[in-house]
Order: sequence, then C-alpha cells, then structure tokens
Amino acid sequence: MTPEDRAWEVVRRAFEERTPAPARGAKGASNRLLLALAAAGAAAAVAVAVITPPGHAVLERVRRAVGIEQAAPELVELPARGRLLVVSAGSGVWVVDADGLRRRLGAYDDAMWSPHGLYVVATTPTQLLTLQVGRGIRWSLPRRGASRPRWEGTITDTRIAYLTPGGALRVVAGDGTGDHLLARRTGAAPPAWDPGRLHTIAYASGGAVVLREADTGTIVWRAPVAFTPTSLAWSSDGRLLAVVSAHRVLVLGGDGTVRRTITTPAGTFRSAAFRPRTHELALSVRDRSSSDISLARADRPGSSRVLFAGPGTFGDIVWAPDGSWLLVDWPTANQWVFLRGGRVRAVSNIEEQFPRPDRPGATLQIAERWCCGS
Amino acid sequence: MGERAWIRGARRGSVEDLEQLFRAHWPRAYRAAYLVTGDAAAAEDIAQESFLAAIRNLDRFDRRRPFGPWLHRIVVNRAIDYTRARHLRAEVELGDVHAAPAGPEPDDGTFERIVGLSPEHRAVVVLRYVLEYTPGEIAELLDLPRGTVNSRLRRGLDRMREPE
Repeated sequence: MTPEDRAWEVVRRAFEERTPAPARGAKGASNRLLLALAAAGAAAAVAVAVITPPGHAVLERVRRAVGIEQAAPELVELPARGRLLVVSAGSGVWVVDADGLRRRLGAYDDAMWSPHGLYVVATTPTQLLTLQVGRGIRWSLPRRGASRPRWEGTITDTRIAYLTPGGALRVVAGDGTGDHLLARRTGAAPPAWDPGRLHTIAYASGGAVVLREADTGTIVWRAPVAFTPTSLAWSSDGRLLAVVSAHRVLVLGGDGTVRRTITTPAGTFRSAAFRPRTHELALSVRDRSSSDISLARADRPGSSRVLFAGPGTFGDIVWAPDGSWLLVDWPTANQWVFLRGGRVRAVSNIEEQFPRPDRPGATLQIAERWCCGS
Repeated sequence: MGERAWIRGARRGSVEDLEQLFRAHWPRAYRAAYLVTGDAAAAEDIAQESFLAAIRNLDRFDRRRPFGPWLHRIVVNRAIDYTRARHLRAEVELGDVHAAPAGPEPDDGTFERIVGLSPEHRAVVVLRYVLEYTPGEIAELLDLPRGTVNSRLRRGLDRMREPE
C-alpha cells in the first residue's frame, strides 16, 4: 500500500465519520435533523437485519434499541462496580461512581486511571499532571500538547506513557521523575502497555507494531503490519494484542506472531476491546448508515456474534472491570447502552449530562476508562 | 468535473468527490511536506493530517478560491512546526531503530541542498520553486511581508549555491 493509499484510507474514514454541518439556525433544528436521520437509519438497519442470517437476533435488538423512550432519562448508577472517567472536549473530565454520582474533575483534555484507580493522569494544553480525585493535583510537568496518557505498573512502581505533538512517545515514572523519550515517531494509535510484562509498551511506528521496554528502550519484538493501525488493545493476560485498522483487525500473540485476522465484509472497524479475563473481543463496526457491536472469540475463528446494532454512529466502547457489562456510547441517539448477553439497558440525555463540544461528530472518550472494582 | 464540483460534492457527503480532490492534491502536498521536513514518514503524517484538518473545515472553505493554496498553507506551516520541534528534541532522543521509507527525492542533488536550509528558508524555496507560487502568494500563504519572502528566497538560493 502506498503512502497515498494509506492516507486516503484514513481521510476517507474520517470523512465518513464526519456528519454534515448543521444548517443555519438553532441547535434544535440540527437535533431534529439528527433524529430524522436516526429514524431513516433505523429503517435501513431493520431491513438489513431481515435479510441476513443473524437477522432475528439483530432485529430484536434493534427494535429494543430504537425504543429510546424506554431508556432511563438519567444515569443513576453504573450496572457494575468501578468508576468511569468520561472525557468531553466540551466540558472537561468527569468521574462517575458506581452509584451514579457524577463529579467534574476539571477542564482537562484527556485523562486516564492509574493501574489501581487510585489516581488520574490528565493533560492540559501545556501540562501533564496527576491528581487524586477529591484531593487535587499531586505533580505536574510542563509539556505542551501532551496527549494520550496511559498509566501502568504495580502498586509501588508505575510508568506513564504519553505522546507529544510530533508523535513522539515519552515515558515518565508515576512520581513524575525520569521523563524520557522512548520512540521518536509513533502512529495515530495510542500506545498500549502490555499487561503481561512490567513497563513494556506496544506502539505503532513505521509500518509495524513494536513492543518495547520503557526503561531500557530494548525492543522485544517488531511485527510488520500492512495497514495503518488506529488502535491497539491487549487481552488482560497479555497473551493477545488486537491491532485495529479500518478494514482489518490483526490479532497478535504475546510474542508478536499473527494469530488471527478478522475482517468485515462491509463497513469499517471503529474500535475493539477485550473482555477482561477472557479472549473475547468486542468489535464496533460502522457501516454506511448503521453501526453494530459484535463479540468474537479471538482464539476461535468463526465464533463471532452480533450483540447490538443501531442506526448512525457508535462512539467508544468499554467493558466493566469485571467483564459483565459492555458500555457503548451512541451519540446519534444521545444515549449510552449497557449490554450484557441479551440484556440491554439504555440511558438517554447523555449530551446534557456530559456536554459535548458544539461541533459535528464530536464524541465522548470512555474507552479503557472504566476502572477497578473497588 | 472540476475542483469546485468535487468540493461541492464533498460538502454534500460524496466520498467519490472527496477522493478526486484528495488524489489530485496528495502528490504535491506530500512532496512539499517531504522537502520541508526531509523525512518521508513525517511527510506522510503531515500531509495526511493536513487533509484531515482541511476536511474538518470544508464547510467553512470559500469554494470560489482554489483548494491547493489553502491546503499547502496548512501543510507547509505544519511541516515547519515539525522541523523546529525535531531540532529542539534532537539532543534528548534515544533514537529509533526504524529507517524511514524511501521518499520522493529529486535525483539532482537539489534535495540535499534544500534540507541544508533552515525550516523557514526551506518553506519559501519549496513553495516558490517546487509548488511554483509567486512571492506574493507565498506572502499570503505564510502570513509574511512580501519583503521577507523575497529576502528568504534570496538567502535560500544563495546558500544552496554555496560550495559544500
């Protein structure tokens, strides 16, 4: 694939995710348009469901999902233990407790939990900082444009990885010391710490996925990939790494060898997340007018099944820490949908609870941010 | 169909029209980014990000104006930013083991001479002699006084002529 073709894939994908700018007028008008589009999309999704093999299951779930009026009007609790970080470019970072208590942490651009959920690492346009919920900032580093922070480690020895505006990958210890450059250039996919090896991180760079020790810089392995990864997701045991791109998900073993390739006959992969303590991979796929969530057993080809489908676009997905529920952000419907087997719980008015930026296609970030069952 | 029709189609959501626009402008955008950064991988990212930025703002684009200068403004400014940042980071880098892929390098020695210039001089030389903008257009693209553009062009060319 040439640089031009690679770039076109990314541009096309971004374009398809972009919704047309609202017509001149009030926000209400654009909301009406959105609802109309959603209804049209729902009809299309139902039609597709009828004529495809998994149709009955999908149809049932689509019908239930379209019953938006049955959704709870407000998030009053999370269906599983743990706390959820919600990053909105419009209103900053929020923490949601299991009992539904919602607190705004501050006007940060991004945030992620520490490995045991005791602290949060956050970024502002000029700083990388860590803080304790309700107790304020622990330390900060002046770092212009730091992004995509990811925190890992044991209870006493942690590392934080983050990206710079030029795409460099840097690592700093959890106490703010030892900041150093690990890789000069990485791709668009956020780096992902290997849960099976301490202080070892995977990132995309130069047509490959690289696993590297953060302290020594030693490269553990390097797996060439013939596409541009958009995200990386480890299974919680560190044995599998899903390398997600628009049209293919490559599942690598913990040693960097290819275990499986997952493709989609139509649409593009948006995101993927391993269910904790399993090798089941939730996949979000966006088609022309609808999206679906399927669950594939990464070590058993042909076992994929559709969990949920709906018109429009799905945003981030995230598993509960115990793997019981999968949360799907559904901006088209202004809803969050919690899935467990055949059970569906929906919460409406998400935009009102976590204001999104006033621009087309804006989504919330919740992926990897439902942490720790305490 | 011409560029205006592609932009009109893209604004309505046509992927086909967007692809025509992308394919028509990618080679020059990539080449400009490469000549300013001297790094094929960075050029790919910069050209790609510039297209993404342009698409995000497509609804605000004045379609009576040509698309190329608008895109090149984004590309060249990002390429200059990248090159400056790379110089700042250079002494703390651990170094990456991956070689950059082969780039669209001119084969007459021009490339080596261009990358020997500062990012600011590189940008005006690339815009003038590779993308063939006039000094007045370059001044508008980079928000510079025309006199500054002319002096950077003059100094840039002088340095490129200096024996190594």
